[in-house]
Amino acid sequence: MIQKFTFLLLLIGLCLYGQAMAQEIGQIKKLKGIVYVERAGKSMTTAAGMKLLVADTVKTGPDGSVGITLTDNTLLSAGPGSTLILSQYAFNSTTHEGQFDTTVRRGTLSMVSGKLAKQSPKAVRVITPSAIIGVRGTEFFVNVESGDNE
Amino acid sequence: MNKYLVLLFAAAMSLITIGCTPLQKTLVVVVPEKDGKVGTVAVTTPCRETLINTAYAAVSIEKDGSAETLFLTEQDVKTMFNDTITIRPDPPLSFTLYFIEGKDELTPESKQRLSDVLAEISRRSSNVSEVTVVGHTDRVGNVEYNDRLSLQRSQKVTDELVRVGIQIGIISVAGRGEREPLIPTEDEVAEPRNRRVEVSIR
Repeated sequence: MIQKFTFLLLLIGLCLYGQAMAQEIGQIKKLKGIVYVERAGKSMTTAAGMKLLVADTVKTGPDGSVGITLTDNTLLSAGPGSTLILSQYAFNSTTHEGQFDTTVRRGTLSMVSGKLAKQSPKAVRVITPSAIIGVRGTEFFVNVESGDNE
Repeated sequence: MNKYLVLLFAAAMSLITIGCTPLQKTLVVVVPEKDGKVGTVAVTTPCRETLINTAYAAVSIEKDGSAETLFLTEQDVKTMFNDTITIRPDPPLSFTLYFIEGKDELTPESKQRLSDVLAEISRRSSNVSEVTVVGHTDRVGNVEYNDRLSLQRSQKVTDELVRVGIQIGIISVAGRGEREPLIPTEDEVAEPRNRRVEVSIR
């Protein structure tokens, strides 16, 4: 009996986890050239309007660029030849608490921070191969040049 | 105990490795926001943390890991980051519309304002816009009554948006009753600024 109950709880937990993972965190609003989104090991070409999920990797082609709005009103955009990963995202729309980490492997990024950064100074970070950028409510740009081995 | 020592050693080694790996040249620059304010960005490399908080201040990280603070101009940033600037999404906007006491009828001024809301939604490409319509009331009447009224108000605005051709699929509607007053009051106090619908366009 207890075993059955535990199993059921585990199942419910897994379902909830799955739902939380599939939560939409933002949307592609503008797009130029070729832009790919990698999700769960699959690469997809995209169009404006596509909803983004946590852990999505966004890659722009040599003449591609993309503009994304997140649910906390953060504006992100990336220029040609960029790779960015929406590594971590949690946003409570009532309290505005949460966490957003984006990883920039290469390319150019612009960010206008949203409600998360306003609520808490440690909530938003941009992680690059050379540095971790902590965002305290502002607008800024990042350029990461390609590594030698790429 | 040994296990921990091994872990500690591994952690120390990985830190050293990070420190020695040739880094990718990286530039971070902070710019003023729309209202002219400049926020703060903290740039942390394995060696040090640099804060930048003045307009067009930048940190340049070289391949050897050294970091240098620079002062750029607006024109420098426009040249370097033009591609990201032109593709940036429209900033989210929100509008507040006010209602007549106890009714789901807009005040005459807000009826006028509604056309601005419509214009803004139409201006943006409809297949990528998300519109949230949230109704509120003041504290006259009980909680259940106000929950109903706030939803009627947001529904009224939504009907109006749909009537002029905005797709229902991009709109989400909610009523918050008397829970989120703009101006906090005692119960049963009439407050025109709390009788409102907030329309957010993202």
